[in-house]
Amino acid sequence: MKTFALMALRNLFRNPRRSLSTAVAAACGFAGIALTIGFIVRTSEYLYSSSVYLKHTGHIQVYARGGLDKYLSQPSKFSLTPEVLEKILPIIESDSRVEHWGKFLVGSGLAGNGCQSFPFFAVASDSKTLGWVKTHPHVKTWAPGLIQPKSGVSLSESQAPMPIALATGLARRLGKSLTFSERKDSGNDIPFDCDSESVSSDFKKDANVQLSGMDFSGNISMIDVEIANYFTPRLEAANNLAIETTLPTLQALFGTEDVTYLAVFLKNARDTQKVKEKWEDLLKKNDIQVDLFAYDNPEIAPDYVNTMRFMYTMGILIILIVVGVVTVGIANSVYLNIMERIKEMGTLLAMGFTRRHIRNLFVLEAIFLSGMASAFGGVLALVVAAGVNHAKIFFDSPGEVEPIQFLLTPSWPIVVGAWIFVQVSVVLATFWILGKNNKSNPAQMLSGDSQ
Amino acid sequence: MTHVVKVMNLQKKYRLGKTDVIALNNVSLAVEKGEFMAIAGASGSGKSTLLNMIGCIDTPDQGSVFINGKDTSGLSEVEKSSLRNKNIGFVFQTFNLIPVFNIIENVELPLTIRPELSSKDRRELAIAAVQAVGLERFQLQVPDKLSGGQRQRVAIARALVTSPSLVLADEPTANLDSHTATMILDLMLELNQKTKVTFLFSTHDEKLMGRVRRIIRLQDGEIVG
Repeated sequence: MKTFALMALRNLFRNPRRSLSTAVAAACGFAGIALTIGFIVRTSEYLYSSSVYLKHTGHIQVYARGGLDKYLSQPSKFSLTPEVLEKILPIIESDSRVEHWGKFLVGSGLAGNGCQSFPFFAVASDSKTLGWVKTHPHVKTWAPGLIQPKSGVSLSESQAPMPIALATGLARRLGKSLTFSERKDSGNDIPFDCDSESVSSDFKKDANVQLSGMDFSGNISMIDVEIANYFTPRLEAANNLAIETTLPTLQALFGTEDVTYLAVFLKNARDTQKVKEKWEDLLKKNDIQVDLFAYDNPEIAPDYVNTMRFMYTMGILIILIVVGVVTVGIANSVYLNIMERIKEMGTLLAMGFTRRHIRNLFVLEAIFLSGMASAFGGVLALVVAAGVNHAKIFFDSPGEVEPIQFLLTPSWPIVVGAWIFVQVSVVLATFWILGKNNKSNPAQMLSGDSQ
Repeated sequence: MTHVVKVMNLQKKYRLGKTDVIALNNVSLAVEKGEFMAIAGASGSGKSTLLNMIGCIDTPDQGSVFINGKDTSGLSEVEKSSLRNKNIGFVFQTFNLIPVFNIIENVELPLTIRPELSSKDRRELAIAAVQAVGLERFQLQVPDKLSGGQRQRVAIARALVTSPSLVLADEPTANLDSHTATMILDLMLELNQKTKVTFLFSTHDEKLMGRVRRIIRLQDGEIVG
């Protein structure tokens, strides 16, 4: 084996130009694979952070039976009541795989500044949960640009009796820019003179917003809330609508003690399906009528799931094409080597070497060539990624409020995995090529004839 | 007495376009241990085909080849490989040395598939074989740096390093000038006398045939003398 390894290694330098050009092509291809995977991983983790933590889906969502589809049209009928929550929470709290859970209430209505009203869509939870999701390590690692608020204080820190976080788009519509903690005096000049020329500057000095909506009994309800901070949701579509607030605030508006859903955050996302199935069994046994949804269910997170499906499909396609090109390039080099060395193969067979020896020799050569090229490609990928990440390149993505940093994160496990994939492809290609050319009898090979 | 080589009624046809060419027609011969024997004949007479059959690197259509009394016709490919490695050394017209290996590595090559030998033993045997052909000064040179005659000496050392009972040389002097060809033949004769290894080689050079004790003449695939 040592002799073969030595021979294989030296044979690479027999035609250095061919080996070099093949190796450079393979290295570039491999770097392309590593960077493509790196980009997919980065996108996947960014969207995962955004979806699971910042959009509050958690890993498992618990709705009242039918609540996912029907809550918004009939909230009182399809919400989770305190009685139901009392039965569900012991099951959740007793599972050691749970990292955190939170109750969430969602609803829509009109937000007004005293002169104009605009539609809003609000999400409410306890302030601890709202703060926890925004400072989760995964969010800090993969989506630091989405950490909120942009200005003001968090809901838990706000002194306001009914604090809200207002999306910057909705704030712009309402003419608001002040937060409750920045107010100079406690009184507002309400009602505003809506026809006055100074009304715009009056709005800016006021941190109060009026929310109105239809409560769970079907009556119109209104409350005064104070702006604790301004934030920018990830998606443009949400920026003109979004409000985050505390659970008591939104429950006061809708006149309920119910919540829309429970979001459960697990320590390890890989446990999601097992935990979900186990809880479904337990809840069924206890006759608790609820629906459970995993974070990767397209009904729960369509943008995350569908974007990732598209990314994975494109990624696999690109990787297969690149691996194919790299493999064909190396296989072509192996083929030319075989054609040039048919006589040498015959000589080795005459000396008593077996066809398996010959095959091992060429496989070793291919592995050395692709192995070295891929290792170089892996380093190249890491260098390129470091350069790109350091350059802080931002790009506008459709639907996103703010530009996203173009980041490439090819980790070592991914590079090693891709390396193994390329090696296996190259070995299979070499086997295939040799299978056709390593069958002639030695005498034929010695005459330079492969068939 | 067991013959080193015994060939019985060998037949081999090749297909050339739409016609069959008879390469060997009912060839039988026996070679005794320690013989130094030439197979002579014009180009296309069947010399190389006969050597290929004897060396088990080609298979006859009919007939049998016995090496040291063993019928090779029923052997598997792997068994034939083992038989060649242990019993037969090859010398080729174009030397067929491995260009990426130096002289000593080339000579050592057939021993590398013998697990019973340590790397030290292999190297010692290779050095002895290189010394036997007078190339000890060139041990670390690659074949490209050597003359044709020196390369053929390396090939002879490689053929002998496994201590075979038979060395088959297919036109070993055809690529050499007449002076070098004579020197190579003398070397082969010397090694034959020293080691008692049987040498069987093909040639069409009439001048060399005068130095050989036994000659088989082939014409159109048949022994004619």
